[in-house]
Amino acid sequence: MSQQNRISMEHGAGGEFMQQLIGGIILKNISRRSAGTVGLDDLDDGSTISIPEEMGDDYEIVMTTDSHVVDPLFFPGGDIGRIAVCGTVNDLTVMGAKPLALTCAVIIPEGFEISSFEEIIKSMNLAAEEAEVAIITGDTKTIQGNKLDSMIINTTGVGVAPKVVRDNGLSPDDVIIVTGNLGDHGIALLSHREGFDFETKLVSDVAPVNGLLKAPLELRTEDGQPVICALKDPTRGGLASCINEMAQKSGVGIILEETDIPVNMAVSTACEMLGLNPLEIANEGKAVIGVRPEYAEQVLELLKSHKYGQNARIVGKAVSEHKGKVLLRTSIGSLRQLGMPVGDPIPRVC
Amino acid sequence: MSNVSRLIIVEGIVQGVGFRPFVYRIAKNHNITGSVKNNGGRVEIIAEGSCGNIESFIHDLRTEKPAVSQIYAIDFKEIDTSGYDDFTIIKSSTEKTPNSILVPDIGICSNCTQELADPENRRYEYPFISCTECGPRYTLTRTLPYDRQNTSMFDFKPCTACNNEYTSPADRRFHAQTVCCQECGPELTFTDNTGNILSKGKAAIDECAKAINDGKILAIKGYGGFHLSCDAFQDEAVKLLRSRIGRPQQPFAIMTKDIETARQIVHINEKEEKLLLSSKRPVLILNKNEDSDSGCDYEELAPQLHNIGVMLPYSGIHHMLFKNTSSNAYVMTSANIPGLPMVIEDEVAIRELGHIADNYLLHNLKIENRIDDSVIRAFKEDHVFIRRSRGYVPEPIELPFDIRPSVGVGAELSNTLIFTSGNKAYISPHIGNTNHFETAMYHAEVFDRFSKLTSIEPESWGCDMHPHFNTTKFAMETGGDIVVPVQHHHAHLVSLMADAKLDRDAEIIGIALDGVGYGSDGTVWGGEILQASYTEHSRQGHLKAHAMPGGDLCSYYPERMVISMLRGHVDEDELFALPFELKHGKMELKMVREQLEKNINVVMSSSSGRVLDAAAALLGICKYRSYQGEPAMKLESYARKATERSLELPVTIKDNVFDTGMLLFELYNKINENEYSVPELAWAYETAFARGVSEMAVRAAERTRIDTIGLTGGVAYNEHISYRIRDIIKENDLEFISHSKVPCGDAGISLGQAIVASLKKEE
Ligand SMILES: [Fe+3]
Ligand SMILES: [Mg+2]
Ligand SMILES: [Zn+2]
Ligand SMILES: [Zn+2]
Repeated sequence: MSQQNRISMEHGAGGEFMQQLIGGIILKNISRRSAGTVGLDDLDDGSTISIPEEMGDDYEIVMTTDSHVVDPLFFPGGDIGRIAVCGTVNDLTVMGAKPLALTCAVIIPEGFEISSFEEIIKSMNLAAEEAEVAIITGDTKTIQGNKLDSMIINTTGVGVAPKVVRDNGLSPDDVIIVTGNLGDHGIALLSHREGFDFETKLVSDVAPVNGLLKAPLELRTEDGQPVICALKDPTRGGLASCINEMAQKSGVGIILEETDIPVNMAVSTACEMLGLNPLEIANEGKAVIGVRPEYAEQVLELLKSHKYGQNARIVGKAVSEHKGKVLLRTSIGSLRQLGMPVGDPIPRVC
Repeated sequence: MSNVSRLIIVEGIVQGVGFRPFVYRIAKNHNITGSVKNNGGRVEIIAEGSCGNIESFIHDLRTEKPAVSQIYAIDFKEIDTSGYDDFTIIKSSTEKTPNSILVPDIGICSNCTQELADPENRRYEYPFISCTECGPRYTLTRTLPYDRQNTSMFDFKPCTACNNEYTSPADRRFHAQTVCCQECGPELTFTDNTGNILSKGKAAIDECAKAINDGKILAIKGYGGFHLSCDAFQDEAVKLLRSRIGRPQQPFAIMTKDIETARQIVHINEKEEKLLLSSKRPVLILNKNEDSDSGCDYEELAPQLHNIGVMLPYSGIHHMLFKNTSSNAYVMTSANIPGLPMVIEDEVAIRELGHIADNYLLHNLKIENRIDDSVIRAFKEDHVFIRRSRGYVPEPIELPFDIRPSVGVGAELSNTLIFTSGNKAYISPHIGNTNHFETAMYHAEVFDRFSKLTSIEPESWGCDMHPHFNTTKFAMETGGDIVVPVQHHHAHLVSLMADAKLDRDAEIIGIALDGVGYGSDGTVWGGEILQASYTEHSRQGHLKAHAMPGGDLCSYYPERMVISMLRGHVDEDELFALPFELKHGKMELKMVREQLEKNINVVMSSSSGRVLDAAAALLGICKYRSYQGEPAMKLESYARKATERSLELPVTIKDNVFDTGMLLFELYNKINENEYSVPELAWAYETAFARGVSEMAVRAAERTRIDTIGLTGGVAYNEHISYRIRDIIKENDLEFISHSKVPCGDAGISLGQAIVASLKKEE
């Protein structure tokens, strides 16, 4: 492939090449480019965000940022562009916020194929359209030679929340729901990267969850509080890491029913063969929800009616004992502590 | 002639064994006045009398003491005479002293057994019969001193007849805290599997016995927990129990009516007979007597093993059941999910065992302290504890020297914990697998109980180095800055050194062979030659580390280890064409290959367990482990069947590393020669394994000029490997030590931890 189809150092130098990259690839492929009076098209020093009228006066601005790297860049079910948008949209959503706008800063190694770059930008756009979030400002840098072996995308997101939902809001008896099968992303990525053939095709779950959670987040108790009292996305470290943090920060114990936790057959088989725990595997399109017990069924029904929530399940509940600990009731009826995931496993079975 | 007065303090196992009544009797015999009382764990005697009488009194105190008592020390002090008229037993004071001692449960004595069978006796067929010399102790004690009000027997007020026995010095039940009868004591009930009472008292025994005859599964409440039970001679009943309990292969212990019946089922030598008949009544793992026509199906009771656990009745309930059933042997397996604490409460039993048991035999005496049966593996010439529990706990183990008060929390599987003070070490009963949360909570509960019962305030805590063990976390959270992490195999070896009563400055070459232990270098060890003192260790040799694809998966599917160990020796295509039986078939086989190639979720380990497991898998003896130790135990049983034992497999040791992959490859080649039987190959493999390990140890001894070599770790339960190692050590004119009172498996770890922690804190 000729040099001109690849990213060169000039693409990051602020001159004509860069204008081509921005105009010819980024602006052309992003359809939601504005969230206020100044948007992406203006290529100004910044952009503005108008607060939607329906949010009323009593709201807070929520902001989050994440730098995304993934190996490989393209995998079954998604690519780095989709992850970059969904990751930040999901972080806003699990704060109880409606995502409004994203920034997008890309760092690209010299020699990167321009066609791949465009594919990634197109994918970002599809995800942004799906999430109904605008990409309103950005930045591009190129890195010389072999100092960087892959692309990095940073997205910063802004949203507004009428009621912020934290990850520390669990009280005893609250019900824990997961919105779908766990471990799909991590195992799909691993098997694609390593060339594993699991017979069943594994696909990443990367998706924006703001649509899925919109209706449940709007539900209120009789005294006007959100029925969703705690919310978090089980990304790196999977459910294990997510739920432990929720238990610790909330100061409650959590008991999960192992047999109720939804895991796709292919993922559980792959984990069984590799000696991995699906509860420690990353997800990119799931949420872990703490719900006031009286509303659990209602929330579950709402989730199940959405295409991303069809496998949603009630998986356990918070308890007043065992503060800060997560216990798993296993299929044989005994309890095992589900700890924070720790890098490589150390054998313990004698 | 003028009287003198002495204050005598007796330390030892002197409570709950009829010690005060005994003192009363000998005081009367020698015309001594004064008093005797329990004070904390000691007995305090004030003795007044003539010089000669006092002397003969003290003589009898030492020599005539009750059979189950033990005297560690007698202390005398001259005091002023007070002119007592009589000798009295004083009610216990509640003041506690360190080293309070509580007695283990004692199997029913011959006097009580006779009374139980005597229609003239008022306790005829009353199963809760006991006396000062027998019955429950530890299991019903809430707190010390051991007095009725501090036990669950306090729920039962003695009737006049019982009270008369309790207060008459000449009676066998004088001051027996467990005295009771059918008028006033606990009562049996027989229920259906939901707890509905069907009958009570003697009728309950009759119905229970009938249910056993009918091939039913019973949950039987004892003094320290529940057993699941059925007629050992009815195959269908045993099969039913197996399927309901979900243990397809695990050997069941059996209880026989008497020693004669036991003899039909297993071979028993003189020493073993004594142990079986002792008041401790352990389960003894003995070789099956396949020549005799006992009528029991060995394959159903202990599949593919050459031995089986046998015990004799140890309570009135057992005797009454055997009296009323046609069967002479019952399966007696403790009622729990493997690794979880045994059930002790009626309601829990009914909730959790309802799908297993058809009926329950319950009673209304509360179990204060849970205790499992003790299990001892009998070798040709000696025996070794697998589980030291009922009959032994909480009797202390004597250490060869004094240490500062210390605690050891144990490791994870088959765990125990320990409190030590001075030269006494109080090992807890069997706790179980603390990876289960319930067991971890029970571990914390036992910690509290032992802390109270021993009144020891630890100045140091020992725990394992494994960062994920719940026991390690418990120590770190509770023990604070006096916690000392102790390397797993060093703990095994220190436990052995103390068991063998070695001096404080002793140094040994230790062979520690087990499944897994966290190494000082952060890798996983399990086949180690260590130079060890009570405080230090250094690695002098080890098995070659092999990749464990999938980590702990390899322990359940030993064929994964076969692949890992043969890779590099056998051509890949040939290797992967072997008839493996992995759970997910060909796909999993491919995955293991990928894992090994790409190093995905793979850890390195020098485990001995995995090396023995791999041979069991390669030989087709055991390809899936359904209970702890299964592949290696079956390998041993197969090896014993070898009639031809001349095959030798070469051993490769380089730079003090024993290449066990090479050994497995040698086995693989011999299998392919098609000239040798499976037992012959198994025998040759075990022999070579023992030789390789011994050789490394002997070389280490030469290098370090240390002349004692010790063997510990779970692999030491293998009689063949154990004796082979011992013989090679002795052939090299070196001293060999092995365990006698402390388990060689991980149940012995807590002792080593406590000692190392205490000595390191001192430094
Ligand atoms: Fe061990
Ligand atoms: Mg987040
Ligand atoms: Zn007795
Ligand atoms: Zn009575």
